[in-house]
Amino acid sequence: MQRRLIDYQRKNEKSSKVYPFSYFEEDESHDFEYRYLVERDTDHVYNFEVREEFASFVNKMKDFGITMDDLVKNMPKHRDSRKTCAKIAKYIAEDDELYKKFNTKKTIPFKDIADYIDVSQRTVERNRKYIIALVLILKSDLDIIKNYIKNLE
Amino acid sequence: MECLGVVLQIKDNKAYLMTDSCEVVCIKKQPGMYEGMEITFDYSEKINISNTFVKYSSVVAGVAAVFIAIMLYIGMLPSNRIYAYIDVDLNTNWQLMVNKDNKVIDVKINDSNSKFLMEGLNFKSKPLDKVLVDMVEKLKNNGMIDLNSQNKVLITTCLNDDEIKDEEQGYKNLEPSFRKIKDELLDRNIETYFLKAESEDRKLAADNNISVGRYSIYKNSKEKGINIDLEKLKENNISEILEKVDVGNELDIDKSNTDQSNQNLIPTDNGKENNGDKNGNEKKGNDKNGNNKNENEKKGNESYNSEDIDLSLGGTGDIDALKSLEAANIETQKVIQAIQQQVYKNIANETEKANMEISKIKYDPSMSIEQKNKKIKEIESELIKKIEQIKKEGNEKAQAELSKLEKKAKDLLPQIK
Repeated sequence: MQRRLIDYQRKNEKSSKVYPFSYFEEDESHDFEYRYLVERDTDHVYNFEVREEFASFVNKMKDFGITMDDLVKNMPKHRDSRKTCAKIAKYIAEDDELYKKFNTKKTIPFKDIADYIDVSQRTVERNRKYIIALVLILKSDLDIIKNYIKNLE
Repeated sequence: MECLGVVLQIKDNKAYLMTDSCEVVCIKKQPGMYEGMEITFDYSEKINISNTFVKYSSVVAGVAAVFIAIMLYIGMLPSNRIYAYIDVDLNTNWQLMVNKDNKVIDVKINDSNSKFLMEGLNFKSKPLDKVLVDMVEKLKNNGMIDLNSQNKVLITTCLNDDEIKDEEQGYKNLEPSFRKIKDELLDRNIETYFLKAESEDRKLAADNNISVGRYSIYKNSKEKGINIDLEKLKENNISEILEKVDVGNELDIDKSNTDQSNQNLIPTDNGKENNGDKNGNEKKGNDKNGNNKNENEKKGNESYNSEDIDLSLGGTGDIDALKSLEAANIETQKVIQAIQQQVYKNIANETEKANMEISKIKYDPSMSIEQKNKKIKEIESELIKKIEQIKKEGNEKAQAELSKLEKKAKDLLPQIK
């Protein structure tokens, strides 16, 4: 009986390792809450909602003329460049006027952000699709990914 | 390297994930995956989309390359461009158009009486030599040519200037086929002559309603300062023309080969003529007559003066002279044969007489054996003397006939000259 208990404990230890410890160290309260939620809401209704959310995100990407294949192909390779992209996306997402412009013109309003962000137009243009995707994620309810972006910064 | 990621989209057999380092990657779909699911995966599972495109493009390019190679091999791409026009003169006249691979594209029969050559002829994309030999066989089957006697064929090659930049290489390309043709036709008792022609000649020949081969003979002769009547050239049999005009073999099929044939041509022809003309003649006469003719022909062939050719092709006069000379030759042969027979008859008579006398002596009881032997010897020696006398007389007569013929030939030949 004791041995079985030890075995079970060891198994649990392994599965808990799936999540890096960095999660616990940084912004502890939020991460714990989030983990708590995920574990509790693995019912079908929650799954359905999440799926819908992802489907609407993919559809929005389509409106911008971007497919997932495009996104994979045009992925910035370095973490640093992804970081700058996330910065730009956050700036657009947080400014309502900029987001409006972004949504109507379906492009990145570079002229308006050029003064605030020290990035060349070429870089923005090259990573346009990725930035658009990030903006759309930040404006959606995709909490998991939003968390990832937060972590990136 | 293990990564954490959220499934963004599942499409076909692929799943798009957003990793915890905000990178969007594509991996193979796993059972139980759904959008929004958070999973751990190995980074090496990632499918490189741009790479798959490159991979497929290389496969497509490879297939295309193989396809093109096959097309080239089959010979569909080189198309049916005319590389050379091969004009054949052999009792009748026709033209073969060949492509770069010496395969026949088209056949044109210039003589309306020889249209049967095309009937049932399968020439498309067949090698030049095979088609030509097939056509010669057809000529033979239709009685247009007698393969038992010596025939001559003139093959004139005209390269298509639009297709060929390097003329020498162009002719070289055709050589293997020509070599085969020469061998095949030689087996059929046909001697082959090769000539080159320019594109212009082809046009001019068509304008003059004459075959390219014959026109080339005309042109070549003209360049050498010999005038040949075009009308005569049109009418005469090609074998006769080739016999009289030294066209030479312009195309060196094989240098050693052609040289031999050129050298052989003249002597063998003469030899044959000699044999035909002087069968049964006495040797002395033969030699003289033969020499006479040989000299005449040698002049024609070697010095190749314009006058010489003029006389041999100049008109009906020369042919008549040659004919009468030939008739005289035959007549002399007959006379000499008669003389010969007379000689044999006389000798037989004399020997019979002598034999009779000898037998008489043998059975004469009044003579002793010694006397008999002596008499027989006397008769024998007398007989030998008589026979020699008869032979001498016969020879003198034959000689006289031959000198007559010689005189006649001399009379006729200056006329021709």
